[in-house]
Amino acid sequence: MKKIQLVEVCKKYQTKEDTLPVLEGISLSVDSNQFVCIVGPSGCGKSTIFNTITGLVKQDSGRILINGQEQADSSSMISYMPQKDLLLPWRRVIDNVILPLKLAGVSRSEAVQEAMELMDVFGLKGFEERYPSELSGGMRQRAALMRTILAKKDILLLDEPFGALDAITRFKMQSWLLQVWNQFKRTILFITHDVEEAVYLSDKIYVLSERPGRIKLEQEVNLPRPRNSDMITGSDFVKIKKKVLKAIET
Amino acid sequence: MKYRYPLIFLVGFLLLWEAVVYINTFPDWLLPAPSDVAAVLPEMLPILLEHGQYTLLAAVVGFLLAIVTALILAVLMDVFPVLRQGIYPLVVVSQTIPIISVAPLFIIWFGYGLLPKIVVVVLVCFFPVVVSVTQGMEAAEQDMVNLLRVMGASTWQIIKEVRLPAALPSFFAGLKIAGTYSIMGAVIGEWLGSSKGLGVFMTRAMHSYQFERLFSAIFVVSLLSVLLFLAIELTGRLVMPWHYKKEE
Repeated sequence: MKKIQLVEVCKKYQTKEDTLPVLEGISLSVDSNQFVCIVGPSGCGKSTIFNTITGLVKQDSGRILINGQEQADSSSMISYMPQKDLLLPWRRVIDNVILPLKLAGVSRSEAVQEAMELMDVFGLKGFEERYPSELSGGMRQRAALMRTILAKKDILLLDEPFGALDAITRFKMQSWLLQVWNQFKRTILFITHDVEEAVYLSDKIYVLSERPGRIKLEQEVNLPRPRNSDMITGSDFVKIKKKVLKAIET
Repeated sequence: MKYRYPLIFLVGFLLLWEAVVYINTFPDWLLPAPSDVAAVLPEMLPILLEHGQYTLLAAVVGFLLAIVTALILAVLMDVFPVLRQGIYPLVVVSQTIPIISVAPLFIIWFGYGLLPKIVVVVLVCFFPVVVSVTQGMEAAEQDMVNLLRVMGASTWQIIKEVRLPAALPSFFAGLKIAGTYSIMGAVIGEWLGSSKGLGVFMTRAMHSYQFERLFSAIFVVSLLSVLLFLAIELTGRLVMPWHYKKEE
């Protein structure tokens, strides 16, 4: 079943002087429980795709189907994790991660109980009462991801969640994300500019062109799961990586 | 000790003042030395505290009223952009009206009791608070607001969870300014007509050329302002521990 489907979505931004086309006929689809990556150079409108899916930005033309239907309000189905962790500095870690539950009207004690059980999985045990400013970059990102997952929506939109992390932390976080995903089984649409990350994580990759964004390549990733670090140097992995890199270059 | 240098300079200033009074030839009553003021202070203290109560009452009540109205207006301006565009510039322009010139009217309108003083305090304190809250709320990160919107938050939830907390540091900065203004506002109100309060005491001391009494009242006014300032600072630390943790 198709969870997310974009059909010929176009978007132009109006600036003072002229119009700036950002998305030009984007069509893509994500199946249920699939992990799909969008790869592209920076400034190609990757984030705009997310903003149209969440409804923050209205597309000029084209259709966006979620669960097979056009939605007036998609907030009940989609959980979105932006590039910056955007944890609320005035809330402790525990109160940050339960925010979506609290907004949905769940009582604090109930939400806290649920969150506490997951603290270990997200490597935040013992840090529940800290403020975000007291956490490392990786921990903040995990807290943000925990908040995204606790929202209990079918669809997760992750916008370069590991972009700001150093290479070693990033790799740890990728492996860990795959574990978490395996445990919670959601549909994930993931934006990145890191080709290796895309191949390592996903079932399918869409390569976006420079602005105005068009889909240049749709690449299935048929590597077995669970994935591990040995695969990265394997021939199948490298073959897919080369193909994606070539699509980006041309 | 971060208070060491201010203390050294304060003592230096007082010594200089003392020296100027002794070296100079002008009559003693024209400018009392700090030691003269200190000498009358113990004797004056009971009566100063008696008057100080009323001043402090007017200042604190006015201050709190100003905070409440400023917060309500700031939230309304945030929810309804029309209000923001229509009222905010007027609030700014209203600051060009010298309070001291309209304050006598309040005496005529509201009598000699506490009310006209409270009105003066509210008018002086309102502006710094409303500006600090409004700017603080505007400075809230748009991405954070968007994120909560995607989470399905209502306008009120966004104000409560993001905009108001984001405005707190700026709000408390405004409170510190307004807090020190509040005592001054009450004193001005009392100058213009009253039966009690430090302002009355000051005008009486002034008219009878008892300047060491005047200075002892000034001392109490400063003391009250400093205490109010410290109370605000302390409240700030309690209300936003996250803000102070970040600084450390």
